[in-house]
Amino acid sequence: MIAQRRYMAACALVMALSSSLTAGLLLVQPDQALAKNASETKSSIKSIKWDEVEKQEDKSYATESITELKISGQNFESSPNFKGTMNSRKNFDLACKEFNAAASANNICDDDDPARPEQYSQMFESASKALGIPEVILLCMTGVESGFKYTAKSTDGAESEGLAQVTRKTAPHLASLFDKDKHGFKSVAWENFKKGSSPPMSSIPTPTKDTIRSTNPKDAPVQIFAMAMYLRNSIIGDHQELKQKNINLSTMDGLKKITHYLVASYNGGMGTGRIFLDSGMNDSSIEGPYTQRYFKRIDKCLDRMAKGF
Amino acid sequence: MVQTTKFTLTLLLVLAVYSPAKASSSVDEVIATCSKDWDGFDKALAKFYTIAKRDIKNMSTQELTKKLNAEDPQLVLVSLFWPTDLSEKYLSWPSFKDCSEKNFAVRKVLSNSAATPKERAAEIELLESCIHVTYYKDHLAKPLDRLLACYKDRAKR
Repeated sequence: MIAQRRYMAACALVMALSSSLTAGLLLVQPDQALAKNASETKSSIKSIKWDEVEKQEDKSYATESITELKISGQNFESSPNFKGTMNSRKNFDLACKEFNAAASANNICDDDDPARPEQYSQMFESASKALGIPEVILLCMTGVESGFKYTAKSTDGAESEGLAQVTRKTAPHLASLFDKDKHGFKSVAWENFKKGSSPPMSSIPTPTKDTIRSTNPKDAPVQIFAMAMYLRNSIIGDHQELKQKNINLSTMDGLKKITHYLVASYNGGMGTGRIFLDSGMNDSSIEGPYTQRYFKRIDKCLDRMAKGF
Repeated sequence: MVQTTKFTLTLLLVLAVYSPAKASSSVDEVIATCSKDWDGFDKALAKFYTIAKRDIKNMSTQELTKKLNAEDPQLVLVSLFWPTDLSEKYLSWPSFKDCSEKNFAVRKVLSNSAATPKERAAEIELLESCIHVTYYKDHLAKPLDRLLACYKDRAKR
């Protein structure tokens, strides 16, 4: 009997202790800030003041400027490998030939096309300047991706169209990036792109998901810019991590590393890009023969550019 | 001896009852609530967030990176709803901000009874597209596939 009472008392004590312990854990967390944040989130989610949250969102975005992406651009400009070929822009038609060589099936720089070779070169140059993507990367990526005059289908069945080979699923997001006035995309980068390409590109079509997916060469300006936007989007997302890698873009090795990161992100989404980063930028971390072949094609293009064709 | 065993069992039972729910079941709970009870969705999210935040705090940077790269459902959901909570342990957290913003827009339009189905569908399309750019291409990371399905279903109502 006594033992039973003791047992009951012990149980009651345990219950009481557990209750207070649990209450303590929930209400008086050691990390007061955590508890505070949690309760704040709870209440804010419960009755969302959308406008206020939007203001906060704007604030956080405003800290990221477009110039952040210059991690690749600035170093690249001092690169001895490409000084003679790309920065001086002596041979636009040669750049275009390289683009066509990479986009072997298409030959979009043909004189019969609405835009002439020098115009395409201007587009690449302007997009590169507007978004801080090294022109050689932009040219090679777009060349390898070019899908004018045919509709490509990836191994998983996703249909891709247009110059930048975006898919039906990815096009709306890319198009939405053009409208982000608050991020300075449209107001700064897009306007600079247009200015840099004028007068031939004074009538650039409005970027929409349809122009991004178009197979019509007249939509090339939007698509080249979309490709630069896509690459910028990948870099800015992993900006801090890329900075820590201390990639030296004045060397071919560094240039290939950053381009392989972009290829991995472009092909498999940014999650794949992150896996590539976590592996120490090791090519073999990306499974699948398609991306491995892609790495080789990109390397070939970069090598050709470095040699000045 | 018997008393001690009973006591231990009771103690275990009490602790089991009072210990917080596992995060994995919370992910399922959030998605299930989204589908069945839109009004309770925010509450389920708040509950999930409290647990997830505690779990993240207890994770090492390496562990978090490994889990996120392996598409851990709890962390995938955090990356979409509260990407800044990953900022201390995951350098690439800004890559989730775009989709998070779009997810916010979707929740806003789905909670707005005056919004038309077309407006709702447009926002969901943007979110889905962003997810395709940011997360894996060949399949949508779990539980984003189910979350999108819930949003689409809600958009029709």
